[in-house]
Amino acid sequence: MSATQGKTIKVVVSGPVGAGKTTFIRTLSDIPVVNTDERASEAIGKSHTTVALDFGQITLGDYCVHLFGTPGQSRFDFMWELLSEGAFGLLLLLPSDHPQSFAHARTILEHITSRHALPFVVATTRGDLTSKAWQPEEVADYFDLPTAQVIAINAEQRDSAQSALIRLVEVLETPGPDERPIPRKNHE
Amino acid sequence: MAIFGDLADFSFREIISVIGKRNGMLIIDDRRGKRLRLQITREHLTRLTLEQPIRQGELIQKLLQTACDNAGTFYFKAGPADAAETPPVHGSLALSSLLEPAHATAPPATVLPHADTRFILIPSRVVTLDRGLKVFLDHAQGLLEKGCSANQLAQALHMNVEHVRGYLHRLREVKKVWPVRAHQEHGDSPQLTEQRSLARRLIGLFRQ
Repeated sequence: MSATQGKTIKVVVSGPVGAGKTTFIRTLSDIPVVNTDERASEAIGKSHTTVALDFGQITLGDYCVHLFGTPGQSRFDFMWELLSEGAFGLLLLLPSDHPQSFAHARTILEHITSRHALPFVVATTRGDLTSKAWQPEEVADYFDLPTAQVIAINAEQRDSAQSALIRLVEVLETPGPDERPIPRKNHE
Repeated sequence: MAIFGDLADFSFREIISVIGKRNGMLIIDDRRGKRLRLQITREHLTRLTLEQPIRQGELIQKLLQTACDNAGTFYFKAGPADAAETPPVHGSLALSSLLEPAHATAPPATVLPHADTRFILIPSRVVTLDRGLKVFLDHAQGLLEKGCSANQLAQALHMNVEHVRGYLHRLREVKKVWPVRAHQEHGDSPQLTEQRSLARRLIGLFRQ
């Protein structure tokens, strides 16, 4: 399936619970967002959580960008797979003040990108809420990514949220280095 | 800048990897109220204190192992490199020499990769592995050269998939395997060329 059906482009927005995926899509969407929030049955730090998907839409010239937000919890991991099929790219949102969620975010990112040919960007959120937050270059080091693939955003501000989409498109336009680790001369 | 977290979520190896070439002080608090301060300069440990100075290399290693056993927090505060004219009090140890070989400490389930995530072998990387991990790698090497998941390896090798996930996690920690990036596997395919062309058009639209 082509990532661009006619002039429709599909972008997947994923990440751990509480990263701001639903907020991000709501901020950017030109239409009322379709979401599938239900009351959380586990203690996840908030009352409701996405159980299937969020859907929003942005019109960009002749193009219609469809934003599909995945659930963050592992028990919905089948949705990561389903929603990534035929996508143009992946935005992984990450709460920069909650490093306890980084390992799960990495699980999501690696699962999706090892199985689907998707360029991706990591967008860190919540850095505006506290000074005790990981910076983008530090997150890049955690994920072993080039710093250009990590951007800090405010999911509640349209220009800031849009910058993540722009960065994703830029990453796709510019061929990047092989992300595999460069072997050192001496083993550790 | 704020590199911080809980030791249940990050191994010492991961912490050192993120700190990278930054100079500063890494503070490790264990739940028993003890605090380790590691002064890091140019990827070397130049000073470590635990309420009193620590001198012996073996004791440093033992203390780090105890302190980083998943029961505490850490915080790294960036700062200037130790001045060259002030010699380190306890000699200077390369941080890499303090890292244990990837071995049998079972990682928590929350950090294990998804069973369907595909990994690929990094053949040129030389690492020290414990016997169990080495045996696993010997059996899995052929499959990992092409890229495969824990589920696929467990099926092919008749192993428990949770054990395989643990092995892959530990191999990834020492960068002997790496998650496949399916996007990079495609090289210069017509699909990718079309996507790049689309990307250029979209950038133009965003900037209008």
